[in-house]
Amino acid sequence: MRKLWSLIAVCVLLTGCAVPGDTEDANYPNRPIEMIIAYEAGGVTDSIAQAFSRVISDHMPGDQPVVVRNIPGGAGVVGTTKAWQARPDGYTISMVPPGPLSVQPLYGNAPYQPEEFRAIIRLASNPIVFAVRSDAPWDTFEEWLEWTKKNPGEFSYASGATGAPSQLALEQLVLAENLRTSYVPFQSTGEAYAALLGGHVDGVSVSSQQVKAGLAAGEVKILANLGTDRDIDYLHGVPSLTELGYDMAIDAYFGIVASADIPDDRVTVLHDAFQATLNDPDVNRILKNTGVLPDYAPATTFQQQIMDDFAVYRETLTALQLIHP
Amino acid sequence: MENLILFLQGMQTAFAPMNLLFVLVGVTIGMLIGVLPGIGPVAGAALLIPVTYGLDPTAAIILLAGIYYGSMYGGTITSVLLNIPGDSASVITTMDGHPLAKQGRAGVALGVAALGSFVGSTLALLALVFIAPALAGVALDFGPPEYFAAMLTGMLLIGALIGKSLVKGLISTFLGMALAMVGMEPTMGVARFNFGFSELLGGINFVLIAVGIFGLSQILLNLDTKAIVTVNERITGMRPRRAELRGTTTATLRGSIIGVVLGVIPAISAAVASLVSYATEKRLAKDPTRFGRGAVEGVAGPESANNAAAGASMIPLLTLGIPGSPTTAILLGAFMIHGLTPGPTLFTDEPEFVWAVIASLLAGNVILLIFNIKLINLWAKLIQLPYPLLYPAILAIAVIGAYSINYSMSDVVITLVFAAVGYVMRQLDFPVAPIALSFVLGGNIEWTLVQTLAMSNDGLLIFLGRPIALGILIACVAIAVIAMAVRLYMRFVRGKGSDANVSTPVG
Amino acid sequence: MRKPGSTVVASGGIVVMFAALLVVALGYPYMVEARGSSRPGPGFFPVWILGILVALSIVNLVQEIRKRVTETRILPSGQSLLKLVKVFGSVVLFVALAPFAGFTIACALFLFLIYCFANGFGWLRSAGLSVGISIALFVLFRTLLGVQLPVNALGW
Repeated sequence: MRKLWSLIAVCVLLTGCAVPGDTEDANYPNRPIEMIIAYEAGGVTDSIAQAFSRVISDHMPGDQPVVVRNIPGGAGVVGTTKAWQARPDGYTISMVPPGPLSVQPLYGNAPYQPEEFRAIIRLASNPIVFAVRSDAPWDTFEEWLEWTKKNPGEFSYASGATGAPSQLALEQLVLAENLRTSYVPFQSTGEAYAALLGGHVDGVSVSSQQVKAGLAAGEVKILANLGTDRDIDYLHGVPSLTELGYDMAIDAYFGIVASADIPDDRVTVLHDAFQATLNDPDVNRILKNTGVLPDYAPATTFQQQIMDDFAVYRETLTALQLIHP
Repeated sequence: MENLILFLQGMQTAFAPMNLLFVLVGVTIGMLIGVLPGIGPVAGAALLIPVTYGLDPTAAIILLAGIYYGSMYGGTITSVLLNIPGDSASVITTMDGHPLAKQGRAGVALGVAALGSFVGSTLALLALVFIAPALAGVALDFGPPEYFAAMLTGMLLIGALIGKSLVKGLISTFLGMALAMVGMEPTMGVARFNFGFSELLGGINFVLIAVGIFGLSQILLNLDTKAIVTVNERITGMRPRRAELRGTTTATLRGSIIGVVLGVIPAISAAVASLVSYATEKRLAKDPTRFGRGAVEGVAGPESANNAAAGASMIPLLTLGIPGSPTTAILLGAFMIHGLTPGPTLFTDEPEFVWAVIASLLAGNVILLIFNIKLINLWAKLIQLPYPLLYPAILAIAVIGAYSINYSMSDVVITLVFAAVGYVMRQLDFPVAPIALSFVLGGNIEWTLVQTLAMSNDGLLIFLGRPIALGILIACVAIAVIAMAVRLYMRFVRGKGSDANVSTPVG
Repeated sequence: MRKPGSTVVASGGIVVMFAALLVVALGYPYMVEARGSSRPGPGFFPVWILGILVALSIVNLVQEIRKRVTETRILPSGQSLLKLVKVFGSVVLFVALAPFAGFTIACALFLFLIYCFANGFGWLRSAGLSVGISIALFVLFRTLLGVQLPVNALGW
């Protein structure tokens, strides 16, 4: 009886674990590439990743596909950790928004630091916007600022996640102007938006694609663009913080990263394939539908943005006493 | 009236052969997903979104909505037959559904559940067609203070699930809340009770608790019992006894109404609706002690309520663009991908699409009702297979289910830990259903209290200025006082010695 | 003096576990200062919930002691215990093996072990059942539902 157990176990180990010899050579990629998405299937990041995954093999040398693998949990940290731990051979990459890279390490929740990743390409980015109900008493940013200064502690606003770029974008402004406002945390942008419409909070700070529908329905108005100025219809006439004289701009980006030691030539291969896919009409249509704005940037620019954001968030979180470096 | 005409036009689109096929495929996949523990409606719908990229928007949404509906029906089946709830909405169904199955009345439980689900969904659909805009307005009046009050009341209703011993029931309830504290918290993003595991940063997934504490521990427990009677040889059909007919009918109707009302409010989940329905039925019953031992109303009410709530959560989704549950959040994503923006403009901009989808919901429900009634015999036969043949396969499916949420083996390990916890708890006579429901409510109580206090400049006094929240809190206190009074009265009537009897272990 | 029953020991264990978790909870900030006002912090709910749990579990312990039941066991004995260990052990082996050997092999082995050694089915019957079921599950989940089950280097 006992012998049988061990016999079976050994057999299985032999057959199952017989990894075929590593046949990696100059022909990168010669097998499918795995793209980790640190969020649930069906979310924004996943939708974009799926759109790319559908067509990218047409643009990849040897027609190799890019397979999406969802590893959600821990505000994106779990999946991003997997990408960080992966072998730097270019066969494991990750599509990331800013949160897990530029914010979570500051909380000490992540085992990695942002410089331990190699940026490959930025694909899209949306400015964070500051919106209020359309029946709110303020029509311009200046009116709002004046009112809030006169009524300390009266203005409340919400965002979809505590410590996320969307919250920090407005907190930065609040700190700079030394305002007294209340921040109400929510578990998702949908809940934050419902609280705004129901009159439970006075404003929201969210990524621009998330107010697109509300603007069209006349439910909300944007007081300020907290991110980079972009040429989109609903932002025409909306001042950006830079235009208002502040030195701040926070965008929610989507880009591709890999573990830091990935060879340069493989970065180039990946970059070129993703850049070509970004111009694919199918991908473009899905990005447009979800309201995510295509916004290409090469590897070096994207790497710089990740590190710059990291520094800004560190400063803001320290000032808010949410972290103590 | 105008809506009715549009609805009839929508029927034409929905009943076009191609679209009917998508309804059929959707609800079938949904049923399958619901039956398999682990892959709940959320994961099911999400997994299939990429499949719909190539379809036209109407077909895509019809397919995904079908999966949502189908899985709500399917979740009941494992709750009744195996005591494994597929998602949080069907936890309550295990309370009386499984005892019914043990008595050889699985057919009755499944039949009543299928019919109740149909009635609940249809009522929700009627609400969607006729009074959606009015209901949607009410939904927005619910802010954090109102949710807090509602969740607190929900915690109180968990009392209905507490079995023989009050102390053990309370321990289970608070344990559920404690489990909800794991992971990053709302105020500062501090990671709690994760003991250094990044897998626990996002908290514990409900499915792991359900599969571990309910499913696996039950199977492990059955290993010991010499004569496991999963079902009697004789399946007594799916008709309730004559004496039960009236109670079942009223329970179904009450459950449906409770479900529609609560389902409209975003963030109040189908699980809460089924809990409220169960507590209501137990309170109103002439003999509450039947509950937990196979009361047909205990299946009919909650099943009607959770499907009605699932249907009603389409109201805030379609009219306001606000998802009321994780699954509708997935649907929202699917809408966006296909270039549709749910919200007030959807009805005016895309009337054909909206009404076709609504009509497809009706078609889907009819198909599901027929399916379920027809399949009851098959399910009944399936669990008549010898248990030693069956349980290893169920174990394997449970492991896949836990794995499939995040494609993570650490989730399976967590599930195994919960299986051991559930095993010990059952041996010690702790009730397990309160853990699952207080887990769902507990985290929300903390979030909504933090939000309420962040909104308020005067601390808890904010409740005085919020009539809805205050009303719920007063009702909550009233329920507590009445329940206490009834308990004391019962003790008085029965005389002293009863308390000692109550806590005697049975196993 | 009688030996305490295993339920009493377990109830005592529950008290100790909750007390330990309460100590962890006390390590989180109980209140936080946010712009001039003081609010419940990360530790507020855990401290209260675990405090209540410690109190309740002590009451439970007292009740269990008063019952003076010594015969109840948490784990079964003899054959039943062996069966429990075999089944739980097989599940653990399944979980440990799946990432390397792939789902199909790990699952078939797991089913075979239970059918053959825990349930006492015959060799051939166990092998047929386990291989059949694991392939059926693989096809159902991976092919039909698109679940990314773990696979070995050969793709299954």
